[in-house]
Amino acid sequence: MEYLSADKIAVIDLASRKVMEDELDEDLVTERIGGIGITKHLYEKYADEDPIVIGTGLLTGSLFPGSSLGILTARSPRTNNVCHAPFCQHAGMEFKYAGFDYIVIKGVSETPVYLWLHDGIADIKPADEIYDMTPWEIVDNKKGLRGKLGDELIQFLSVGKAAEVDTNAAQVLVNCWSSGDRWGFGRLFGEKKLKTIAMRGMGLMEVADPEDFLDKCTDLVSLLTQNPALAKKGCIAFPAAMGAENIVDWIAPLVHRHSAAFNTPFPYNTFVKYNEAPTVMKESDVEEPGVMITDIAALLGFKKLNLSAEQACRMIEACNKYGIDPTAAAAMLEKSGAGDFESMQKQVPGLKENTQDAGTTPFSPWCPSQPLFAAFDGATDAAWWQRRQAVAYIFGIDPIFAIMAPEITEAKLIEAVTTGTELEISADTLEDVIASVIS
Amino acid sequence: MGLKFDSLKCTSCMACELACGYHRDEALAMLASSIVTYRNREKKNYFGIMLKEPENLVLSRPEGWKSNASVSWMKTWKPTRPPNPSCSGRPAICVKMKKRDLSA
Repeated sequence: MEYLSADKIAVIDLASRKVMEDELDEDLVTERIGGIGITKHLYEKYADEDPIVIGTGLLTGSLFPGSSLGILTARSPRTNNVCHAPFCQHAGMEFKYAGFDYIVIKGVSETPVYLWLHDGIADIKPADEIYDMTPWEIVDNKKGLRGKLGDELIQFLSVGKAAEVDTNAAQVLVNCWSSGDRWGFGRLFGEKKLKTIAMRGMGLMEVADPEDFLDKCTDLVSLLTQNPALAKKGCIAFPAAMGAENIVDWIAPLVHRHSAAFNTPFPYNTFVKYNEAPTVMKESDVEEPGVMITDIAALLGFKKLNLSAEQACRMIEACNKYGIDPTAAAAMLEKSGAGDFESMQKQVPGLKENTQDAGTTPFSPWCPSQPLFAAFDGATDAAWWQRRQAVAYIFGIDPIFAIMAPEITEAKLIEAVTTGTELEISADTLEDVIASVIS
Repeated sequence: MGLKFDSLKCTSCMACELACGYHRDEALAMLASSIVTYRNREKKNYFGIMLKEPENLVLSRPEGWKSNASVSWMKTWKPTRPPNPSCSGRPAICVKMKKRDLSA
């Protein structure tokens, strides 16, 4: 696969410590397009070995707006179904530029390990030194792996201590922050004794028709500048847009800055500071001034427990350090009669309820279930949301941005990958792939 | 065409870095870019933009603009490639950093 691709699939067996590599076959891309079209295919191919499949879409890491998405595909301990968890920020892009389109992780390691993906190489490394670290410590520029591996831009998919106990709420985090893993995939990392996946991308991806691809992307960016969503900032604006309580004033005194996932025009990650003044813009000596709010449901979950904004944010920090899905943690605490803030903080390391639900969709409820800020044509019901998610996960588009941007149509996505790859990918092909991933 | 950066409006999305690399190579590669998103202090949420010039480095930082940086992490930093010849003759390659004076 020559274009919009790293042209590599790696099958990593943690039991034998062997890595098999293969090229990404153009026929497979023509048939399955990419993203979850192919992660699900690979999952089914290795299903007997209980794999975790990680991949990206053809547009991930490209000029196409919203191209930040990476995907984890595995059988969810929570639903017992094959589900997909999105990871955005800069990790999806980094995975692809590290030289991989897809990796299949199978087998169980005898001893703790981590994966180091770089320059098209997948190294399985002993994790003894980092096994007791929190996800925050793993990324540390001095004591953690960024320091040890000598690069402060390494991105991580990590688990914390929650992955070692019997809980379906253990989460795979992106660096220090919550991801879209609401499926308990952290538990699967723990069972495989896989502590983290470190990724750094120095690669280059060719585009079949670079000028036309650039034109298509810039035309779309021009269209997007008219989108009312781009006047908003932060996931803290989501609840009001969804017809729920407006929390902006509640959280505003803590808000520092909003940041975006890779090449995504809407900055929905909201950083709050409570260990120093949020107005401080220059770099200070405070190592951990606050936390990044990446999952609005988690913040709302803790607000519901009658916590102040600062307390709710500190609870998210505690969950991130322990490696538990904060949305699930808030629900567990509510169910158990949470108590006061101090009591809740103490309970976090012991949270291990095995939440089970039937699971009506393979797509993460991390993404709000309705359009945000912008109007889409036609019904915007559960079927619309599921199709919109499927399309985003197939092409590598940020799922939250996908529900804000009606300008990103299925036709434009097909045009972009056709221009970028010169492969014949039709609307009928997309229809077939959507049907296969939703079923 | 030019770009003007206001560091407080930067969202660390890296679109500028990607576009610059694409302009150089007509391919997707951040390594080739003269514009670099500084995102090394993630836990502090401290980010901004750096511009590589032939003999200089310009920083668009949250607290303000700086040229010929002398902060500690810059001392070992070297541009990976010289500026793109196609950018020569344009002021500051294609980027104008907005000066900002914050007392915070």
